[in-house]
Amino acid sequence: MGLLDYYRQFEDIDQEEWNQGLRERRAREKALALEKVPTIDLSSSEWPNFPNSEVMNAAIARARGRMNGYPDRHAAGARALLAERHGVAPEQIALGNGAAELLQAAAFKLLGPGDELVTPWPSYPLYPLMASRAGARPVPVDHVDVVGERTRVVVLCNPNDPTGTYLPAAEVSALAASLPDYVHLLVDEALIQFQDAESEDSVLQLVDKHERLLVFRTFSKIYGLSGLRAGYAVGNPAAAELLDSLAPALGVNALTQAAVEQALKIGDAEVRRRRELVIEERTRLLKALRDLPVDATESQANFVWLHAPGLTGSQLAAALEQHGVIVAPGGPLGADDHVRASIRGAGGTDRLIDALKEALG
Amino acid sequence: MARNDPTDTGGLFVGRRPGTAPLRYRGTPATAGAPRRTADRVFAGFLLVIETLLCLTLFGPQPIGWLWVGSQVNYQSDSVTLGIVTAFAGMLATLMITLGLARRVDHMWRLVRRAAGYEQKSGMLERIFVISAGIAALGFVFWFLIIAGPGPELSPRQ
Repeated sequence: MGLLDYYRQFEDIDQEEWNQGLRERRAREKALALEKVPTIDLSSSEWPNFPNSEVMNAAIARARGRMNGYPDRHAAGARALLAERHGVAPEQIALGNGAAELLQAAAFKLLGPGDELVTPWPSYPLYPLMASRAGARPVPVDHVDVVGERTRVVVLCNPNDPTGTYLPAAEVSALAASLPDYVHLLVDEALIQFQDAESEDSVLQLVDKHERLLVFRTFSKIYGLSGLRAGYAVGNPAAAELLDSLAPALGVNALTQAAVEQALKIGDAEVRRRRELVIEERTRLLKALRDLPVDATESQANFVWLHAPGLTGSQLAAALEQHGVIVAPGGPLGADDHVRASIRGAGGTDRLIDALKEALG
Repeated sequence: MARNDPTDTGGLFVGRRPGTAPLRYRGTPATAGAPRRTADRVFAGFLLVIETLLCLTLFGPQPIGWLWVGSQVNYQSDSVTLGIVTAFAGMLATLMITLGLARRVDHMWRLVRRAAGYEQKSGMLERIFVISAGIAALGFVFWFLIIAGPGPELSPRQ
C-alpha cells in the first residue's frame, strides 16, 4: 500500500451518501414486506377497528375525574338517552356489563333447578352455558315451537350467531304470543344494526305488546366497545322490577357509562357508515359465493355461515388458513360442517373470495 | 438526570443528536503500529503549520506582493486604474488559489490525524483563517496607528 493509499483509507463516507444507502436498504425491506401477504383474521364477530376516539375520550375524561366515588348505580344518563332513542320509559331499560351478563342474570332470575331453556340451534354458545350455570337444562331445538312444561325461558338470537338468519318482528310477535304465560322470551339483538330486512326497532317495539318479552342489545359489536362491557335490556313496563333485578347491584362502572352516553350522542353517523359497509360487502360476498361450491345462508349479520360439501368445518377452515384467511370452525358454534367468516372491508371480502376459490378450486 | 447533561435532548430529537454521527469508512482501515501513529501525529502538526502559513500569506505577503506588481504596471503603463485593477485581480486570484491549497492541506491533515488514532471529524481551516485574520487585523491596526499613520501625532517626534 502506497503512502497516499494508506491515508485515503481514512476517507469518511459523506452523510448524504450514507443516507442514500439507508434509504435504498429501507426500500428493499419495504418491497420484501409488501411481498408477504399477512394472514387476515375473520374468525371473530366484534368490530375489527378501534372505537370512535371521541367516545374513548369521554371515558378517559371521566377516568381523570372523581373516580374515588361510586358511579351512578341507576345509570340515569345512559338510560335516559336509550329511552329517548327507543321511545320507552327509562324504567323499561336495564344497563349492564354487556348483554351477556344481563342474559346470564335473566337466566339466574328466571330459571330454577330442573327448568329448561329452549334455544334454536346452532346459536350463540353462551345460551346453553348460562342455563347450566343457573342449574337448568339447555334444550337446543331446530324450531322453537317445542316448548315443554318445564320450559321457563326461550332465547332467540336475532340475527342469529352464527347462521346470520333473521326472524322478522311479525314472527317474533307470533312466537311470543304462542308461549305459555310461564315462559319468558329473551331476544338477543347484539347484531341487530347489521340487518336490513326491516327497521332496527321492529322487534324491540314488541315489548309494549308482550309482557314477558325482553330484548337485549350490546355496545360490543357495531359500536366497537367490547372491551368496556356495555349492554342493555328493554322490557315491558310490567317487567320493570325484573329489569331492575338484572342490572348490576352497584351499577355499571363510570367509564363505561361515560362512553355509552357519548356513543349515543355522537355515534350514529359512524354506526350508519359501518352498517352500510357491512351490508354492501355482505351483498357482494353472498353474490360471489353463488358461483363457488359452497352453501351460505342469507345472512343478516356481519358474517356468513358457510358449508363446503364434502368438507368438515375444520377442514374448510384449515384450507382457508393455508391461503391466509382465518375463519371460525363451526364445531364450537354448533355445526361441525360449517365455518363462520366475518365481514370486514372490501379487502377482507376479496381475500375471502380468493381464498375460497383457491381452497376449493 | 442532571439538566445540563448533553445527552438529555429533552425529547427534541428522535434519533441521534445533530453533529454526533460517528465517522464511517468504506472499509475497516488497516491501522499501523504505535511508531507510525506517532510519526503521523508529527506529520499532522507539520501540515497544520503549513496550513497556518498559507493563511497568513493572505494577510501580508500576498497583498504586498500584488501592490508591488500593481505599482510596476502603473509605472510601465502610466495608468493608475490598470495598476489598481491588476493588484486587486491578482489578490483575488491568489486568494482563491491559496484557499484551495489550504483546503487540500486541511483535508490531508484530517486523514493523517485519523491515521494517528484520532476521530477527527472536522478540519481546522475555518478556525485558522479566522484567527490569522484576527492577528493580521491587530498587526495592521498597530502598524496603521502606531508606526505609519497618526502615530507621530499621538507621539510626536522631538
